Amino acid sequence: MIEFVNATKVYGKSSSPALDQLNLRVQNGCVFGFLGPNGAGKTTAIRLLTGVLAPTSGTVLVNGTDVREDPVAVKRMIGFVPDSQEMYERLTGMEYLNFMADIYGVSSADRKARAEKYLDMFMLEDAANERIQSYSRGMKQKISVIGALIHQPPVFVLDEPMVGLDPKASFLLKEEMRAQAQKGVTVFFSTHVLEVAEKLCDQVGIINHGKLLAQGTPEELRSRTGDASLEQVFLDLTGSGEDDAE
Amino acid sequence: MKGYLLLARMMLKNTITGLNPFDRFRSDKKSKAAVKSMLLGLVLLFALGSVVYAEYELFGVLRSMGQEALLPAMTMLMAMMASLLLGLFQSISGLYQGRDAAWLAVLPVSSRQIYAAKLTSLYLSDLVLNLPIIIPAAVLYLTSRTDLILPILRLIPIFLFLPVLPLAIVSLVSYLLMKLSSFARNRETVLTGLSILFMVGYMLTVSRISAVSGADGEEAVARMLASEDGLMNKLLSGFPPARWAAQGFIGSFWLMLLFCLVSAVGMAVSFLLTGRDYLPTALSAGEKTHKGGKGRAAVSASRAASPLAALIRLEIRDLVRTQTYLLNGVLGGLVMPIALMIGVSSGMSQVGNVGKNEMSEVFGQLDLSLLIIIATGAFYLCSFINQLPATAVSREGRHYPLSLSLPVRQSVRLTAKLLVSLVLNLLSMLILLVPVLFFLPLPLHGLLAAFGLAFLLSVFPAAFCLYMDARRPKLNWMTEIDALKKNFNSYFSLIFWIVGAAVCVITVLLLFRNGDFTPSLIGLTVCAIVLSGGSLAWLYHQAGRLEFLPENAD
Repeated sequence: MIEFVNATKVYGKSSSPALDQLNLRVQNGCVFGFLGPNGAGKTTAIRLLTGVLAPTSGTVLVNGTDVREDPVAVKRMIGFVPDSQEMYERLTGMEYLNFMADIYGVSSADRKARAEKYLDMFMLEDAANERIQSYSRGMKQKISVIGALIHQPPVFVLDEPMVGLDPKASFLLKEEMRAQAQKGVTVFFSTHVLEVAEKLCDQVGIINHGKLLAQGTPEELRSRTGDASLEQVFLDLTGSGEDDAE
Repeated sequence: MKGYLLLARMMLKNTITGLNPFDRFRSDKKSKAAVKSMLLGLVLLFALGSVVYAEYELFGVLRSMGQEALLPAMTMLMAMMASLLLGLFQSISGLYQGRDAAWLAVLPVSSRQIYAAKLTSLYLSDLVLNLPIIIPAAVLYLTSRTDLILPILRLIPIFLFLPVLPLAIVSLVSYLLMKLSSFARNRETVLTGLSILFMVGYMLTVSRISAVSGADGEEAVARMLASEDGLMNKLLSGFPPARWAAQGFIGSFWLMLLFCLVSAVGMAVSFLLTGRDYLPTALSAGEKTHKGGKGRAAVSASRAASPLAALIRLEIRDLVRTQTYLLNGVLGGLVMPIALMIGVSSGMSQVGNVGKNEMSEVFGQLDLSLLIIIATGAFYLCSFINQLPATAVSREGRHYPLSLSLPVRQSVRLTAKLLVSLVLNLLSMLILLVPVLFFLPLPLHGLLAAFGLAFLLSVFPAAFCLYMDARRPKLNWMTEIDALKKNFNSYFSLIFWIVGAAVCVITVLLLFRNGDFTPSLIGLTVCAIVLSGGSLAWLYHQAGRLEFLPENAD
C-alpha cells in the first residue's frame, strides 16, 4: 500500500510548493493512474515515493514503512521504471538486467527465468546483447520495465510508461500491469494518455499545481462531474477546457 | 556567418555556466551566498597567488643568471606543449563525441560554421587557461625592462594567437584519427589505441629533443635552462613557433608577425581540410560507436558478489566504455607518470651511466627517511590531475535519479566511486615506480612505505572531492566533456590536493631537527593517517545527509 500523508515538497527558495499537502492512499492490488498537466507535480510525487527526493514536510509510506525513515527498505519494495532518458546507456540490455538483479539480490536461477520470460514477452532477445545507447526509445522503455520487474516487487512505479512504445508493446505493458495488480502488486503510474488511464486504472488521481484535485474510480469522477469522458473531467478540473480557452 | 555567431555564443554560454564557480550559490540565501562567494574568491586568489609566487621565485633565479627572458619563453612553451598534449583528447571528445552532433545536424547551419563554433569554444577555453600562466610571467619580465609599451603591444597578438597553432594541429590530428578508426570494426578500441600511440610518440619526440648531456649540480640546472644546448633552447628549437612567440614578445616585431601568420595559416589550412567533412564525420562517430554485439542473447546470470561489487563493475564499465572518460579521465590521469617514465627510458641512453651514477651519488648521501619523504611526494604527485572523484556523481547525469532509487545506501554508492577513483591513483603510482626506482636508491621496505604513505594521502583529496560532487553535482549536461572538464568541481580537486600537500610540507619542515628527518617522516605518517581517516570519516558521516537528490544540483 502507498500512502502520502500531507506530503509537501518545496524546491529551494521557491515560494510555491511543487507538491502541496498531498493526501493519497493506494491499496494493494490496485492500478493507480496519476494524471496532470506538465509541471503539475507528478514526477515530484514519484520521486518522493521512490526515495529520490525527501519531502519538505509530511510523510510517504510504502507498506507502512516511512520513506524518510528507512529509504533503503522502501526502495527494496519498489520496482521503478523511470523516464526513458534516464538509463545506464553504456551497459548492454543483459548487463543492465544482471546489474538490477545484483542490486536487488535476485538468485541466479530466478533472474535467468525472469529475464528469459520478459525478454521473450517484449521481443528483446535479439537486442539484449547490444548496448542500451543503440536502443530506440521504446526498446529502452521495455528493458527498463524488465529491470523493474526482475525482483518481483510488491510495488510497481512507472513514470510515463507508454511514451515511445509501439501499440503492441503498449498493449503488452498494460496487460502486465494488470497481471501484476491481480497478483496483489500495487501499480502506480503517471500518464498523459487519458484513454489508457480510463481503461486500465482502478483508481485515478488528478493533480494540478501540486494539489490533488480529485481521486476515485474513472466512473466515480465522471458521475461526480457529470462529464461524459475522463478527458472532459481532466480538462474541467485542470482548467484547460473550453471555459479556460474562452 | 550568423549561424556561426549564434552557435558560438550558445556554446560559450554553456561553458561559462559550467565553469562559473559563483553560479553554484544562486539558490542560497543572499547572505550565505555572499559569504560562500567571498571564501571561494579567497581560495581562487590563493591558487592564483601560488602560481604567481612560483613564477616570481623562478624569475629571481633566472635574473641572477641574467636570463630574465626565459620566464615568458618557458611559460609560452609550456602552454603550447600542454595544449598539444592534452588538447588531442579534449579535441576528440569536444568535436566528435558530443551528444549534440545529431541535434546540430538538423539546424540550417553549414558543417563549417558548426566546426568553427566548436573550435572557437575550444580556443576560448585554452585562452582562459593560459591567462593565469602567461600574464604574470609577462608582467614579471616587463619589470626588468625600461621600455614597456612595445612589448605590451607585441604581447597582445602573441597571447591571442598562442592556442591557435596547437589547436589547428590537434584538430587536424583528431580528424585523421577519426577517419582512420572509421575503417575498423571496433572503432572505439582503435581510436583509443591510436590516441595513445600519438601521445607516446609526442612524448618520445619531446624527450629526444630535450635530452641533455651529463653535468652536475647547479651548473646542470643553469645549463639546462640557459645554455645554447640546454633543455629550454632545445625545446624551443624543436618547436620553432614557440621560439618565435617568445622572441617576438622580447624584441622582434618580425618574429611576432611570423608567429601570428604561421598560426593563422595553420588554422586556415586545418579548417579548410576538415571543415566541410566535419559534420558527417561527427555523425558517423556517433552511429558506429553505439553498436554492440549482435545476436540472440544468451541469458546469462553473471552475478556480482554484492551490491557494492555490482556498483564497482558499473562504474568501471562506464569509464572504460565512454571514450571521453577513458581518454580524458583515465589516460589524462596517467599522463604525468607515463611522461616521466618515457623521459627516463628514452633519456637513459643519454644520461646513461654518468647521469645515473651522479644521481645515485647525490641521493645516496641522503638519509633513508628523507628519501622516503621525497618518494612519497613524487607518488602523491600522481593523484594531482585525477578528475574522477570530483566528477563521479556528475558523470551519472540524467540517470542519477534512477541510481538513487536503487536500494543501497549512499555510503555504498560513494564507496564504489571512491574505490574506482583510487584505483587510478594506484595505477598512476605503479607507473611512477619505474622512474622512482631509477633515480632513488631506496630499499624495498622504504619503497613500500613511500608508496603506502602516498596512497593513503591521496585518499584525502579524493574523499573531499567526492563529497563535494555528491553535494553539488552537475547533472544536466549535453556532452560527457561538459561533465568532466566544463565542471567546476573537477578544478576543486586541485585545491584539495594542494591543501593536502601544504599540510604535509609544513609538518615535515616543522619536525625537521638537526639534519634528522626521522621525526619528519613520523609526522608525515601521522599526517597521512589523520588526513585520510578524517576525510573518510567526514565523507561517511555526510553520506547519510546525501541520500536524496540535492535540490541545488546543476
